[in-house]
Amino acid sequence: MSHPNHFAGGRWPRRFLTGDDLAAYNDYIELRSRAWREGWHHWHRIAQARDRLQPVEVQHAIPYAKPGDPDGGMSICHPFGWCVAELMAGGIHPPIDAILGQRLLLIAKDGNYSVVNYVDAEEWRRRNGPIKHEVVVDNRRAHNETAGPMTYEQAIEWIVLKDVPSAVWSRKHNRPQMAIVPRSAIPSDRSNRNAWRLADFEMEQAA
Amino acid sequence: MADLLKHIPVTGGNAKAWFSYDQSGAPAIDNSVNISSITDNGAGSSAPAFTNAFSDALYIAISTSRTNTGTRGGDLVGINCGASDDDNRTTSDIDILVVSPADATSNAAEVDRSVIMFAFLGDLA
Repeated sequence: MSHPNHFAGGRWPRRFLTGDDLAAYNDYIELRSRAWREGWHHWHRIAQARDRLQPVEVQHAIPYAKPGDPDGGMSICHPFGWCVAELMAGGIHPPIDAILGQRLLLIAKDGNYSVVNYVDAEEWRRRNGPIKHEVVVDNRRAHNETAGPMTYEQAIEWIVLKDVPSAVWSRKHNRPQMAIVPRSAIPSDRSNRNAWRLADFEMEQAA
Repeated sequence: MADLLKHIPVTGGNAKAWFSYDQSGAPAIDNSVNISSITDNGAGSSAPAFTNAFSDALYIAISTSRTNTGTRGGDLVGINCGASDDDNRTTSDIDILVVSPADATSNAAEVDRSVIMFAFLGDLA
């Protein structure tokens, strides 16, 4: 897939936005520029944290069934130690509801488009087929708000909610779709990696 | 540090996220900036997630991998576009794939490597 050049930077998202979405986008762009100029952009907080923190040794991993393919292969989310350390320190990353409420403009290859929350974006991509382009149109809370210090467990939960598809954790299923397991439960022999199934890890967790 | 960072433009310039990752055994992360997790999707296949998302899906990914001189030459490391050649970059994560190329006796194969390195450049959200 190739992206037309007019999707790079500039003012083009305004053509797809109306009403409150357009007003929020204009406000967001102004705020993001000011945050960067004044040094309190979310990324500034992440970069500055490296001067004073050490990565945490992460003890857990999150195997989950791939949405739309529950009987097929499985994915395993490995939280990063730097991010866990930043969450435990507090004052760096936004509250998780600020991430999940981030607004995205998604444009499918067939021209269909919609503005959706981050938490709904994965489902929209899956239902609407290949995506032609996407752009963040409101991320104000990620710059304006920071979460306080978290425990290790709360930090892992924050990462699960952000990085594991919401279809896995937000709905009721007939059987578990994910598990939080010790990293030692993940086999180091990967010769049959594509045959791994979630049930193998549920048994490990029960044991 | 804070004063210095103010002079880095939000558009273009330095890498806004990067990581070094070992997927040869139990996956391990060597180092990272602006990456909250990596998802192991199968042999040779993984997906890093950005802590601070990119503004749009047109960021640049620069990659390399450790290769084994005893096998078929250099690996191919890049975006996992699947059979339909779709772009799998999103503002919040990217599917990547490490492939050992085909030779006269073997087909191309997805492989796990002990060093996978990526840097990402683009505009931040």
